[in-house]
Amino acid sequence: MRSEGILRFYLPFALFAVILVVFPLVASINLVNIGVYALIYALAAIGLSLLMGLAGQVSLGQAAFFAVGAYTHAILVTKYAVPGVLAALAAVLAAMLVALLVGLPLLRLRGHFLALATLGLGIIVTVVARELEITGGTSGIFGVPKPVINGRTYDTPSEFFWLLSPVILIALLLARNLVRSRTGRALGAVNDSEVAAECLGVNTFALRLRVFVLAAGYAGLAGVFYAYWLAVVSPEAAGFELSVSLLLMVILGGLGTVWGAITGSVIVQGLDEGMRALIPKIIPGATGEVQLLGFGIVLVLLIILLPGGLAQLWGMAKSHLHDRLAARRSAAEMAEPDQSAGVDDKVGPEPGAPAAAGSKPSLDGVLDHALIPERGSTVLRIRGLTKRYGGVVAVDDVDLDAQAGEILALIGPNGAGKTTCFNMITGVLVPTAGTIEIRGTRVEGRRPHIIAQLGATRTFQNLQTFASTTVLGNVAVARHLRSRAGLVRGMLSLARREERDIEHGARAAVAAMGLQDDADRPVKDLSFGRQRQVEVARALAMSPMLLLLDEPMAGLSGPERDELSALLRQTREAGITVVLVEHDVDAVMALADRVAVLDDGQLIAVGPPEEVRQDEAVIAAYLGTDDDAEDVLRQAAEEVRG
Amino acid sequence: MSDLLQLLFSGLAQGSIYGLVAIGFVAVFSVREIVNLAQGEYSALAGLSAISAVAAGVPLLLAILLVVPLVIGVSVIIERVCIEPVRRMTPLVSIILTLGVSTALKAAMLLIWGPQARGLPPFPGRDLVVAGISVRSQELWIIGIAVLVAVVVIWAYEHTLLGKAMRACAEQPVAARLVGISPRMATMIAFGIAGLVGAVAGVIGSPIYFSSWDYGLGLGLKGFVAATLGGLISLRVALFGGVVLGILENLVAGYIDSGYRDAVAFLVLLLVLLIRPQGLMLKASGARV
Amino acid sequence: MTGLQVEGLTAAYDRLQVLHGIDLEVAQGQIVAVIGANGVGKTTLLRSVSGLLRPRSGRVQLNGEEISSASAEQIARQGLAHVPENRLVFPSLSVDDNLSLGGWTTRKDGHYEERRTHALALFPRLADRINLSAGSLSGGEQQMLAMARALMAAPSVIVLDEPSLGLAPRLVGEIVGTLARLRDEQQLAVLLVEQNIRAAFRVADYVLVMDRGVVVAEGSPAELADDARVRAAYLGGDSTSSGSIVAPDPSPTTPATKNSQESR
Repeated sequence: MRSEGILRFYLPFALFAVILVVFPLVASINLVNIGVYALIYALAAIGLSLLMGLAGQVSLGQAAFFAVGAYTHAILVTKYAVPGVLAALAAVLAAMLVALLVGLPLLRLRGHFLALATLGLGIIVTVVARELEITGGTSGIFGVPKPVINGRTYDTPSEFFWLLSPVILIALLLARNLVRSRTGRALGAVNDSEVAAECLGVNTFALRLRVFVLAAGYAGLAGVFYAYWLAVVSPEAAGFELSVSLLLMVILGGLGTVWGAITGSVIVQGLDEGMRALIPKIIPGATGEVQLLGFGIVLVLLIILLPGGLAQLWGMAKSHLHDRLAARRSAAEMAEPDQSAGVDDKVGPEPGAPAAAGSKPSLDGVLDHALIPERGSTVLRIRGLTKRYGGVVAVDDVDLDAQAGEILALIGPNGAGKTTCFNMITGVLVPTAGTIEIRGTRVEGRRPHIIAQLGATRTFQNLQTFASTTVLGNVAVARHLRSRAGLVRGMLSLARREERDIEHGARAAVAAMGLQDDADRPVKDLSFGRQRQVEVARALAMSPMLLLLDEPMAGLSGPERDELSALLRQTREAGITVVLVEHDVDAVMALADRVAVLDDGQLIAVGPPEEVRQDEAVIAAYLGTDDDAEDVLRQAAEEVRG
Repeated sequence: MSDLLQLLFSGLAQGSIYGLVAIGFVAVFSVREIVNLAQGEYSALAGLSAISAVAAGVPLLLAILLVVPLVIGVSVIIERVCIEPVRRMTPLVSIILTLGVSTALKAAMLLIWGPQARGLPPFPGRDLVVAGISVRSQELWIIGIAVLVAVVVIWAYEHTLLGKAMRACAEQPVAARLVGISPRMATMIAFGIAGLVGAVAGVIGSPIYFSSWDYGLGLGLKGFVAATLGGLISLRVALFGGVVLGILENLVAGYIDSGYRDAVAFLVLLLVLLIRPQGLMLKASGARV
Repeated sequence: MTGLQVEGLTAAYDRLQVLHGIDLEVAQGQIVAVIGANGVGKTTLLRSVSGLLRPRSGRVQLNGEEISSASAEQIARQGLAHVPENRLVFPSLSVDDNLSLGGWTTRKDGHYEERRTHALALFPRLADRINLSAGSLSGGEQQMLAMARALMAAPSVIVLDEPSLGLAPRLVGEIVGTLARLRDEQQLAVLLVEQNIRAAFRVADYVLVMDRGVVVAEGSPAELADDARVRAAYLGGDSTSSGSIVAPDPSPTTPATKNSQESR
């Protein structure tokens, strides 16, 4: 959301620009030299920070793309006499192309496997660089000329530093824009809860691939400047040491924070130089990459003691300061009691909990894009739906339809297979057998984001809110499918109007759930019940045609339940199909047009609530049958006698 | 023909080392879902320590008997100091944590032993020529000891109560706690086993493959690749996977180009992960160990 | 003091408070059943008792010793066995190995063979399948194995989470019958969570009805049989006359039946 002020956004950039201009004027040549390396590695670290913080992918292969960029540039410049700028461009593209090619298979992997596979990628790039003739074998490529612009050669550290400065600033700005864009928001959501993001229409794989490629582009650009500055590119460029130090920069600065990547690389570069000088003094005869000792120890300490890095410290310091200021202000107000009465904004533990009691929730401006099918037409059609786990049948040959504009409740005892049904309908699970059609389109086994595109979304039994953002931020993700801006437009910040529309739609959905007073609070600070309401608001904001709610009433207070029921009735009036799983049988019976009962994976009854309530099979499913009881009694008697 | 046999035999020896390292990965991963990136370093540490001990006049056998418990101790200390205090262990945290440990260990070895690679003296025995292939006695030692240690570890997992308790922790941690098995104890033992197999791999391989501060990175990656063949949960498949990988590497080195030897593991990893990430050679029945 | 005593137990998952002060008592040789619809906190109650979830407040005493801050492993060692929801047998291990792990806490006391023989006598089907992997057993057999495994620790208190779930009526009978036997022959204290009310009523000496984290009714099965509130707790609506359960306010409107429990 664009709630940050323009000034607050650009002020750090201006400050940083001033530092970049002044630094070479006041620092020694040696320090400027370290600064050049810090800026070069910062480029690669920004990319890695986006990849790890935003996309949640652990990559130990960022050095590989760095090396691809460095080698491509060096080869084009020295062997084919390509002009520097063109070669640099080609080098960045080459790094991105390699990332695309390896990302397609690799990004299907998760966690440990991706990390190890990218580590292997680093090794393979080293091997290839060492073996090929064009890369100069083990000795590498020499004599990469320094950059020449308008006949002027940038070959002193200060000049090169100034040449790098605008590049860094632009790279930072683009990355910051990305974090705040539609793409950044979706990535953050994926990182918090992949399944929820997918059910809102976010294609996680495509997004991750894009960020992976983008991060490689950043690394490739860093490689270009490395080749320029060092004039030599050797197989060590893809070395493990570089991947470790890039990782350290990112963790130290704070995952996903763009400014952290810069800070981290400056500190790590300083640490590197310092330890290279210090360690041989303490331990005579130490040679080689001994500074890694410090890197390793700092990494371990950081992840145990300060997993959020410096950004975490910064946040703690800020909130501490904020508290101090607030304390001082309230002390001042205490001194003038007359004024404080009116200003006190602490209403109670749950500001606005009973949805501004009296003001009816309204769906105005929420369901604006929904494709409303003709009332009574079949929206969801399930035939023979079955899910088996080994020998256990969780859902057994279920046939069920849902019509446009009805509320259908799915109830049944524990373990009856209700949530499993939901998971199959929304693409979270692949059915063992059977078909699912949403308005005539077969969707069984498709990914959740495809099903979301067809207009179906859901909430979750176990909360799946996006914990790293606000209430409004959560709901805004649901507008993903209702907006278009891609990675590039996001980085260039060209989608302001669309962003305003997104915010508008999100605010309407937040208001519909009576959450407007909490809109800008972090969602994780809300109570369980409020978070559930956030999920419902989020699902509504997607403007769905078919809405699946998994236990939406759990954790809600009495009045909140009534409110939700009212809202769901409005949703039905708008022609939207609501399917809900609910344990609160009273609420279900009062709300639903039809009730379907699952027991032991089988559908045992479907019909209007009053009919289902009297159904013998339903009563037996909930209470146990008389047959059971007779059997139990007889058996027990036998056993006790025996 | 004898070329092929020669490559197969050398591959078998090298692969036994990978198999041992792979068992270390599986032991830890199956209990705690941590890929211990410091696994390779255990072997480098064991090799280098044994070399120093021998250089100081300690008999070879005694040096080995001293080094193995040392490395087990290091592994257990790493678990107590770095793994145990972490409350929320995500893949990201565990990777960064063990990468940090691995990096620090590497640098410490560089500080202590310097950058040169060196080897233990070979174990006693005479090199032979059998059916046209030269058999180095050290390779026979490697295969023999590696298989013995691997079989003992696997046997213990399958037939002792403690081993079964470890498996129970791996496959049903909640139920394991309910019958009184402590997951903390299981994790500690798993790291002990990881140290054991890593140390043995390090000392038996040192006379041929040498030991150096950065030996662990490549070895670790290859052990990990072998472990993925069994989905990181099967000890038997991990051992077997190591042997297969060793042989493949030698065939590539022999018939294509020795420079590409190190790329084989990565290609195998890609293949495994793309075809069947849950483990290429693991039966669908879910049989573990 | 023997058996299990729970006083004022509250428990929560993060921000969701699930238990709002539960009191109950199970004496040796007694079966207490807890019934109630989905999601009212029955499983959470068992998890808090056996140490899988640390209670937020309240006391849990096992044979007179406070265990509310002990770990699940410690509590198991002190003689409380928990047969969890969905059985959770060790699937790749054999039936025999599952049993021997059940005896993990008592592995050094020398009575292993006795207990194994006894457990197999209680569940003869397991004896026929002793070398099969637990994962290959049917649901009912897995339930028996989970119970046999729990008994291998020679517990004084056993808590079971929906042992009848997904089982054929015949097997439900078998399992419930075994519980009665354990109570009568070994004087075990049994805390049983069930959704199958009728099965629970036949075997229990005392029944608690839970709704939204509190006990809303308790008494002997005879006292509670045909109580509209029990039906209401499951199906809602029908018994608006008795009201107390369907009211949105979950404050405990428990009838004073505490005495009847103590007098028995």
